[in-house]
Amino acid sequence: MGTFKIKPTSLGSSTFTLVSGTTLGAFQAGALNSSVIKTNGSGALARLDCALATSIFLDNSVLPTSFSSLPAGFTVVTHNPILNGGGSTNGDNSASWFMQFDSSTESSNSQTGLFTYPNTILSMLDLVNGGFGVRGVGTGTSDALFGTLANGWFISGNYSIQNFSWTISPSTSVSPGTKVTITASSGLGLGTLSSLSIQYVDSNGNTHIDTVLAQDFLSQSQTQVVFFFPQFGNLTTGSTVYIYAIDNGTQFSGSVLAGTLTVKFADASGIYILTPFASTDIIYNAARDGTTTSVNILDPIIKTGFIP
Amino acid sequence: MSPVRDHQGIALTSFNGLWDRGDPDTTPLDHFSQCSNIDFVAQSSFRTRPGVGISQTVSVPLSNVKRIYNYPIQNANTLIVLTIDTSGNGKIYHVVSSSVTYGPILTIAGMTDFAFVPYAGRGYISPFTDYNNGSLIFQSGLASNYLYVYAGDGTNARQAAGAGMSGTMTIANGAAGYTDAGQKVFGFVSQTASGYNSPPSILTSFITSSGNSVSFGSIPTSGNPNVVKRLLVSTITIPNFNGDLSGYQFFFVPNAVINDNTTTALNNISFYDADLLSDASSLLNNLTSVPAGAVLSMYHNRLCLAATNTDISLIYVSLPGEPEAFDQIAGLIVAPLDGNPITNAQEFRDVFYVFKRNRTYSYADNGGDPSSWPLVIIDPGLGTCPHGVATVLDSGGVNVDALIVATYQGISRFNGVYITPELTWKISNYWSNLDFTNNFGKIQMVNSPVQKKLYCVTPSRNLLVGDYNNGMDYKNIRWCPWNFQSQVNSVGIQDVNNIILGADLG
Repeated sequence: MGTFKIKPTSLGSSTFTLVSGTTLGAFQAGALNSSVIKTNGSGALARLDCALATSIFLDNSVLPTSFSSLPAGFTVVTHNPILNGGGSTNGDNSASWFMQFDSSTESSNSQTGLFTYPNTILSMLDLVNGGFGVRGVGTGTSDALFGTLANGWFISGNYSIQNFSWTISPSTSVSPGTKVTITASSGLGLGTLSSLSIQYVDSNGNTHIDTVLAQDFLSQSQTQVVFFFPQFGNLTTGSTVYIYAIDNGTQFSGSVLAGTLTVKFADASGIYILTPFASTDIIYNAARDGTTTSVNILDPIIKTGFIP
Repeated sequence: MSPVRDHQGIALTSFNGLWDRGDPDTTPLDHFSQCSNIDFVAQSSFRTRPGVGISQTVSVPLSNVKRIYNYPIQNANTLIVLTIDTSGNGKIYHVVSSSVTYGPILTIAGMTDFAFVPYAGRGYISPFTDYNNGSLIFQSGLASNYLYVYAGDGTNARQAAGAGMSGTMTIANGAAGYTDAGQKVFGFVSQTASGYNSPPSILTSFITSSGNSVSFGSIPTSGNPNVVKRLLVSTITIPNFNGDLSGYQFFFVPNAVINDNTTTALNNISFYDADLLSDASSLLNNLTSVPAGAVLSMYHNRLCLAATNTDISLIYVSLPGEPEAFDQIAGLIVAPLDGNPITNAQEFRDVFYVFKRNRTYSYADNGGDPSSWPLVIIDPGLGTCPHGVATVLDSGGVNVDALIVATYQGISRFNGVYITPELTWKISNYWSNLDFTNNFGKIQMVNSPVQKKLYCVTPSRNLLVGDYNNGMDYKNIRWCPWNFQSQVNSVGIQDVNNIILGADLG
């Protein structure tokens, strides 16, 4: 078990104004110069952005660990956004402030600086890409929300390392419909997985998530899971996709990063017609020039019930 | 005789599809605990599912397809297709044949889905999208958007309905003729190519003479290029005119039509008050722009639109035979308010069924205004999603004696009540594991009575196929999921027996 902090790298947006004579310091490494800021009476919002390469700090390290360098089996156990480095806030008690994870998930009014994300545990990728924020609502034009914020703003949490050794094959040039195999050689098994969450970030910085349910696996055993890789959107060839495993709760909770693979873009979208007695699928080529490719029908399988 | 001593072989002679209910060890011998991509043959055989082929032979086929509807026109059964481009714009195309595609006929930023109803050769289009309500994702009409009408000829779809003309006109006594002498108020109604009549406008009062006809000059033309006619309307003679130009009943004047949108004069119109029989005042109550909704349906020759962005439980019902004429007073139905939007509506056996995600209501036409139709709560726990009523060819959702409806409980037959056990009884685990929280709206179903198969696009974006050659009941239907290279978004039937799939980029 360890601890981590996710510190913002930039101020995404802010509608706070400063009391005369104060400044908003840099957000690098989560440090914020002491400031007094006000909400303009009607409320203000600051959204803080994080970066996969420079926002993650493990076990009070002063140097960041990039997302891609996180140890295998890294699993987020808890996470909370912290205002003022975990201390209480000083401020005008006639004002209220609310903490946010992503812009649609917000705490109730709180002054303790802690906000537990409701319902589910997010993955590290979700936490970093989602960022966090703080919203203040004042009752007048001179509301001062924060006194000293020297310890900065960040998300803190605990992580664990799930002991396992999984491999993904193939791991390069994966196209939609590719049969992907996850093999467990030690540690956590695969027999209790309830789904796989396939996550990637597009060119606009938006996180996409595709879920392959266990019922859609081609096969599943304690040592192996086989599934068809789903369509993954307009990603350039060579882009990295993250595969998270979600258990049914028997072995672990939350999600475990099973591994990554790189994709080969193949746009097989379009209008198709079921063709009786056709023994292959004819799909549009990725070039979208009217040419086509004949591919095998994805493996037809059956498995009978228990035969006594 | 078994080749193994003291062992009696077990013959597997019938294969009745997927069983996913309870423990896998309880799977009957004549079912599969797991199956995919197989098709059932006759009563007890199976083979690999049929392959797919391309539907378009054009040099640049449509990509990132989100939704497909059948669009029957006079001489063909065509398709209306929604795609989304890389900028997030929803684009609707009219695919006439494998080699001919019109469009885009409509482009709207943010449109991720649309409702569609063909009527009298035209297509009525309503753009909608998803919105979050707590942890659930619902659908409602696109904000600040409208109902559109498409002529089916490749020209762009245009906003339905429309406002009256503006401006002023002159009125004078014409040549010798006849009217009932006295004060009247005249106006014009513009009519579009789709037959929509605007509210009377350019209201002008004039005192007619008994021995003269009436002539009109400087008649404004409509700024709407789709206007093809302008019709003269008039009040009967007003004994004591109070100055309120719109406070009297208007009638269409016989034989007083300008059959274009360019002529500015209409001369020598004669009529008596007794000739004024066709009421035009009801047009004053009609909406001049119809907001977009997530639901379009036909009931008793009326176009019904529901789940707009601002009123998710409101149903707009048009006049019979006039799909763009919505009375904003008498043509409204408010379904019970529960925070959930209306998701679907379907006529069945002369009753109008309205669905929410977990409610089903009915309304029956009592001959009066839609606002007076009585409500019956059919089921307080089951409903469906925007495309969750299976369509049969191009005839909507009716097949023989029941609707096929996708509910949270499963795929059920509905004949006024939900018939239990549901058709997906054998695969209840499979169905309940689907992501209804985020993707209930992804479900779309078609029923092919020729093949005796149900095709259901699931939230997992594959196809769940139910073969009912052995009977459409929960015991005999045979289920199997089919997977494809792309994620399937939409399914339809074309030309009686062809199953069309729409796939996107994911």
